[in-house]
Amino acid sequence: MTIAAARSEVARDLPKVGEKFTALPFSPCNMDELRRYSLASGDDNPIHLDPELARRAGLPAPPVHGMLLMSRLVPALAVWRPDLTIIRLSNKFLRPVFVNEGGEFSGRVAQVTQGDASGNPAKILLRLMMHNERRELALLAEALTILKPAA
Amino acid sequence: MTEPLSGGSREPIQTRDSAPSSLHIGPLTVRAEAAEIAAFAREAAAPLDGSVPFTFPMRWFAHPEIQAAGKKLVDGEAWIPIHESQSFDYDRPLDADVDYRMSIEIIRELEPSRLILRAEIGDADPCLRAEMVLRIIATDVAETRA
Repeated sequence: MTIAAARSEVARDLPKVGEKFTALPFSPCNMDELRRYSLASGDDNPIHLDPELARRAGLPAPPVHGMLLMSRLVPALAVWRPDLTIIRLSNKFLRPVFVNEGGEFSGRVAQVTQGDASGNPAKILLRLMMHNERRELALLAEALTILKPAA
Repeated sequence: MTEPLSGGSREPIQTRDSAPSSLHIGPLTVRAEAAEIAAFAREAAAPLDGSVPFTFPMRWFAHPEIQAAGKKLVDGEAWIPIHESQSFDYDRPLDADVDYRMSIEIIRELEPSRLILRAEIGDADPCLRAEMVLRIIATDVAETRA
């Protein structure tokens, strides 16, 4: 990274550690949406589509695919910080979000590492969460991000 | 918590006499076709700009060879997989309509009962490393699939 590029990053307002993102709603997914996601993603695990199988696995209803929740984190970040792009995303799926159940995404800036003169860009580590309607922590994620190239 | 969340899968691997504890698959040739990208992006709320969505490589874990390996490792039980954790770590974005090579290691753990899939995807150099951890739940009605 050149000195000019480093100055440019500062000028583009790196997030501050501790900065919180406004909670964003996660719209409920109905069974038809889960079927379509199964087809598009190749994840045809029947537990997401078969209420009886979900019941036998101890769940009151089919759960939304964890990967569908994870996928929707990416546009949530684009709402919060459209100038950031994710390079690493790690998720733990802690509690289910059931079909027809909504939720809420939230997050905060955990760490900011400045870019340097040897070409390493500034890196911003975010901690992201999703709570289901029952206020349980359904998804816990860490996203390592960098600034998108200046237009 | 500054370590990747996917870093918690380093427990000792327990083995059984009747089943292997890990399998290597690939390299497989994988490709993000434009039509698949569009269908995936619509359902995953990803941008419809032709770029490969961040979580699109999920599709490649459904490859028949990978599913067959999962069945082999979870020998003989009636089970379903529950997604426990997932990570994607990109060195650079993937391009649409380009062939990539994907190599996968699938590890069977017994306590708790899990499959851990670690994939590396790239061409001459890696573009992406991904890890999927599946908890194995026994069920009397489940189809045996990965």
